[in-house]
Amino acid sequence: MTAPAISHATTPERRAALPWRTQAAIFLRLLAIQGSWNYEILLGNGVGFCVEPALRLLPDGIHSARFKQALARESKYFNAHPYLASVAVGALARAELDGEPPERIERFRTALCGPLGSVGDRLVWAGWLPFCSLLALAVFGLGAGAVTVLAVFLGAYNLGHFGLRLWGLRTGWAHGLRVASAL
Amino acid sequence: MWIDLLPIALLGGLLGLDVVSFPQAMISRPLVAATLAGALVGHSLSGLLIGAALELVALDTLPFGASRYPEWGSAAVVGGAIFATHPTHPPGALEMALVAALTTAWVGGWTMVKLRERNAHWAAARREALDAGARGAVIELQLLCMTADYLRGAALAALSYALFAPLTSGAVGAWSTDARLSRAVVVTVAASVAASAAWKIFHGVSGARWFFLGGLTIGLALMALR
Repeated sequence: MTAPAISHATTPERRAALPWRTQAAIFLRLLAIQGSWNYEILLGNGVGFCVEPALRLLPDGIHSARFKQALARESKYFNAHPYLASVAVGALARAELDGEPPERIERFRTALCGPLGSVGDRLVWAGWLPFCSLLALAVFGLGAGAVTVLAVFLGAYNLGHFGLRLWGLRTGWAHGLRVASAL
Repeated sequence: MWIDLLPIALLGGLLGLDVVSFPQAMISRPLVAATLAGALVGHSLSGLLIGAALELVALDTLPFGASRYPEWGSAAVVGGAIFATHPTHPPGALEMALVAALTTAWVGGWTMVKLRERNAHWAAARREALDAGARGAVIELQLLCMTADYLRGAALAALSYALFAPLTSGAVGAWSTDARLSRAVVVTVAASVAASAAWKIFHGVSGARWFFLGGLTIGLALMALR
């Protein structure tokens, strides 16, 4: 069973920005983007889960064929670093709401997987995380108490973490399918 | 001991969830998780001590992609709680707590692989609905897998604590090696693993040296300002 085919001939008016509540819903869901990570579709369902609040803005809402087709497309296989997946989520939300052709969106999803995984692994797992760990261990070595050590580590790390997710979502939305230039 | 199991399980579940599923804010890092577990038992400083040792070891096992890596969230809760239940730090307590945490981390990595296989099974069972763009199926799958991950971490922490807490109490009574010598061995091993991790990162990732130098500079600046 697949969602019925629909016409993308009529391109809707481009949105300048997502409503604040939609942005907040997507951002919260981004924190759980790996919630259903598995060896078959990896982050796929998580991307669909995150894009879904934006897809509700499609004409005729959640009961339309267009919504279902878009959600099915966004819930397929996807792989990226979990923080930088926000770039993809923002860009895909933009593409779906702008009425980009489905084949173009699918090509874009495929092309984005590699770079977002590689850049994120190097930037976050091999850079920011060890940096913050070493910084907190240095603070611990200087004799700071438990609260200070935890505040330094969590404060520093999450400044980068939440900042990166927010930047990714906004950059993805702002550039849509041309987000590669922003990266 | 048994009365401690429930809060340890709840904390283990929460911090196990943070490793991958939600919200990946690194409250699952050993430095944080062990300190929180120590605080739960009433001795946060003990948790911080073993958390620092585990953090050095954890630097060598970063969570890259789909690879299998140790699950430090639940593991550090177990290690932190066990060490904090011996606040006078008798000989053998740190070593046994470390063994408990490392064993739990290794088993935790295996349980994450099994959970990911189970997630794939659940996704396959909903394939038709997902292909039809059913909103309910997407959300249900996400919530189901996250709940399962929470329960995995909670069960792992509870079982591991139930196994290693009495073992540690027994070992502490029989430990005959000098406490300072025992601790020195632990610190040396942890520091060696961390140095090896730093070496690998420096030679594998361009620009990592700058992150390290940045951390070192800020650390030295803090030291100078004291």
